[in-house]
This record gives sequence, C-alpha cells and structure tokens, in this order.
Amino acid sequence: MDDLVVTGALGLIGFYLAAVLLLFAIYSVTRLMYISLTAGNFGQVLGGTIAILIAGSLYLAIGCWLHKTDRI
Amino acid sequence: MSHILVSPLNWGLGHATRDIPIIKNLLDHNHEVTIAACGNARSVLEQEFPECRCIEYPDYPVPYSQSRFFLPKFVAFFPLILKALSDERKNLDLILAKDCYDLIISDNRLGVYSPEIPSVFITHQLHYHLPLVFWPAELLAVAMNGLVHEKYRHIVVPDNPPDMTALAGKLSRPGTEATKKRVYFSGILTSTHNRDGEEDLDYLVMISGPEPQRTRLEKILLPQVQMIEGSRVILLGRPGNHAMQKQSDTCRVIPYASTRDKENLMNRAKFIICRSGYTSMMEIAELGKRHALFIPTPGQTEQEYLSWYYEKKCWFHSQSQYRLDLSVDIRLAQQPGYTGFPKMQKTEENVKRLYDQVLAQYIDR
Repeated sequence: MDDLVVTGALGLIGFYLAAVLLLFAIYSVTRLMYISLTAGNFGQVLGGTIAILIAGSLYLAIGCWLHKTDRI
Repeated sequence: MSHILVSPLNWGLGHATRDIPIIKNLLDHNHEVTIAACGNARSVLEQEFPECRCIEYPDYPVPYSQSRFFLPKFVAFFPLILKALSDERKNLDLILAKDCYDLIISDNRLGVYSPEIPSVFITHQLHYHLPLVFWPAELLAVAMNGLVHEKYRHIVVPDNPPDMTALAGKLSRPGTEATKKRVYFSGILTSTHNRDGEEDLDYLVMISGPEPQRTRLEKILLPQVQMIEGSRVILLGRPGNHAMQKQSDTCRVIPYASTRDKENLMNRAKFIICRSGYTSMMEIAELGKRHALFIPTPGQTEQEYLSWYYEKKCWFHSQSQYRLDLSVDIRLAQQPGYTGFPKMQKTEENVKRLYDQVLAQYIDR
C-alpha cells in the first residue's frame, strides 16, 4: 500500500484513539466526582475540582502561549 | 516541448481558476498541458483551454456542513477522504502509465505526485486554523502537512512571503523543516484582470460558496441590500439559472454570471461585499480594491481566520452573517482606518517569476 495512505491511516487511528481516551478520561473523572459527592466526601470533591481547574487552565495557557508566540 | 500534468482540487472553483494563469504561461512557452480534474473544476478549465486534453480524475468528497459546525463533520469525513486518497494514488498510476510527463502540478491534491517525475504542490494553507481549544490538533495538522510536502520538489504558495503583505497570514507560514526547504512564495495568482475603466457601480454583492450557507446569506442580504442607496448588482452564484431579475432601476439581481461578466462587474465596483474565501481575496488584491465588506462562511475556519486577520491589520471590515446590519457595516467598512490590501506584485509578474524560478528547471532542459 502507498506510504502516504499508510501514514494517513495510522494518523487517523491515533486521532480516534486519542478521542476515545479523552472521552473515557472525562467519563472516569465525572464518575469519581459523582461517587465522592454522593458519599459525602467533600474533601475529595474539592481536590478533584481544583485538579480539573489546574489541568484545564494549564491546557489553555499552553494554547495561548503557542498562539502568542505565533507557533499556531 | 515538455508535457505537464495539471490537477486542481474540485472543492469550489478557486483551485482551478488560480491555475489558469499558470496553464496559460505553460502554453505560451509551447508546452503541452494535460488537465486531470473532475466536476466544475474540470468544466472551467476545459472551457478555458479547449486545446488541452482533459482527463476525468475524481478527488475527495466535500465535507461541507449544513450547520455552523463544520469541524465535526470534517473529522467524520476523514476515513472517506483517506479512501479517496488511496483511489487517487491508484488512478494516478494509471494516468502515468498511459503517457509520459515531465512535470506534475498538483493544486491541493495530496496524492498527486510521483517519485519519478518532478512534482510541484500548490497550496495557500501550510497551516490550518482551528479554534484555540483544539491546539494539539492544529500542531498535528502542521506535522501531517510536513509529511505530505516531503513528497514534492516545491511547495508553491500563492501569497507574498510571510511579512507585512502576506494575504493569508499564519495560513501561509511554513511550520516544519520539510516545508521550509521546499516552499516558494509566488505572490497572488488569479485569473481576474485589472481593466482600466470607470468605477460606476456603487455596490457589488457576491453571494457564493457551499450550500446551504449560500442560500442563508442570500436570505439575509437581499432584503438589506434594498435598503441601501446607490447602484447595486447582486450576484447570486446559482449555476444553471441565467435569467436576470431586475429589482429596480438601480438594483439588478443576476442569478449566475460568467467569469468574464463577474470580472467586469468587479472592475466597475466601488465597494464589494463577499465571502472571505482566499480566491476572492486574491481577486480583490489584483484589482487593487480598497473598500469591501467580508462575511465569512459560518464554520469555515479558514474564512473566519482571514476575516479576523484583515480586521486586525485594519485592511478590511468583516461581519458575521448572523450579526450583519448592512447599512451600519458598510459605513464602518468605509472608514478611513481601513486601508485595503497593501500594494503588491500582480499575477502577470508573479506567474512569469514562478516559471523562471521554479518550473523552468524541470521542463526547459
């Protein structure tokens, strides 16, 4: 098979795997937070929320930095 | 005399029309050109160059979306595009087996190259623009572009080098070493000519682009155009419908205009209202028009980026079709703060330079 098509197919598989992984991570974190909340473990809920906020902010900060430095 | 295969993508007519000056130049140098294309791109080039042989050469399915959310549909289309790419490679082998070619020119067709024949790729998008939240995908696309560009001897970008006059902004900025080594900035390439004449038309409104957004824009614009004063012509971009509708003495609605008629109207217009597609931008730059209003197609990230970029550079005013208030936006667009595109070299010189500096080394031997 043509190498461009093979590269494209591998890229596509990688892309979809990353999307599935991301959805699974979102599902797992949401489930964990829900269980902690219903169990009354507010310390874990607070910790989880802070971790999510830090991760989200870091992700967006990297995006902003790439944009500001003209990399994207 | 050399034999050149020219293959434009059939996603809109922009790819085919910007190849017209290149093909004309090749024919002027007495080379033989074979056109491999499909759909409207093939029809336009067949009509323009009856002396050239045309081969039916299908490309990729068009993932235009019914809604503003173009991106998810585009991603869902990836497997179909990959299948079409595989077919494109197989079909190219058949084409190359039947005839001898000295050069291949691919306009945005990723699979049209050969390791044995010098191949040149034309694109104005070295870099894709995505919403900030998808930055990893944007980086991935830059890397993938680099892999594609490795297959070609030259990457011809119909834009000025990335400086103050670059029309495509970050879109035409090379991101990988493979691209940087091969890139050649040809300057704008368009089939539209600047004809010296009087600008006697106050407003030209060009409603174009993929459906259903074209019809939506028509519904938004038509009632608003009636409210403005001055002579107006509205091109609806509906192929197959040529009957002219006259709204009033000063307002004409033309369902479909030929390339020549459109060129005449653009030359006559003092103010142009259109989508911010890159082909239209090159046409406006070629004609040196200084007053225009751009309305990006919703969900088309390239057009949305160009609109934002021209606003930032204070070249032209843009407005979303959902927030459009024509009389207000025209007034804003005519403010002296908007300067129009900077002065730049025109297609005639650019295409000559492209031939001398890039193409001639493969075909004038």
